[in-house]
Amino acid sequence: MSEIYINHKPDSNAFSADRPRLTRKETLEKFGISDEEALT
Amino acid sequence: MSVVPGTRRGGCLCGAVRYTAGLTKLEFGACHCDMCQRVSGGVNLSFEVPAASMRIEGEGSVVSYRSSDVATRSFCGICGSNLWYRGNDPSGKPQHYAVGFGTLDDKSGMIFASEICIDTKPDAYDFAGSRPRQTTAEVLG
Repeated sequence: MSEIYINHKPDSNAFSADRPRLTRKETLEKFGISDEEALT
Repeated sequence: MSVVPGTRRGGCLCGAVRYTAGLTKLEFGACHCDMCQRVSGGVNLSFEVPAASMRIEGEGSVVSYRSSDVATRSFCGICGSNLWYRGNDPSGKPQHYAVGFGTLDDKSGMIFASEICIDTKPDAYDFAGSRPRQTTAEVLG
């Protein structure tokens, strides 16, 4: 299990345990998607 | 019934359905029951809004599915966003809305207050933090 767009997650809830957590920027970089190509 | 601390706006992904909700408390909860997992595609987080405090725009785009004798679940017929859950009352008394937390425009200040049907939560994840967690039997009482 992983989490992406972690910087968009509301502060009020979080999953416990360690796992990869990528910000939107890191997610787009990982999948080679440009900012313009990203829908959200 | 007092509505504090004001109203919040929200809506579906495509914007066809919008709502203004008068909140009685800044709290939301998770339901881990099988039906909520299926309808949400994950974890169903929702907050309660009294029936009289809910104003809906674009109601023509709302599609409702009576998922059991107990409740009806509604979603946007255009984009499919999960919108809310309402109990079925045989007497016709308006039931409160359990509105999808993710549909809120502004989620700030909301407190994750409870988890129910914790016994049917998949083992694969847990929410961090401490809060009341009830089993299905405890909820049904």
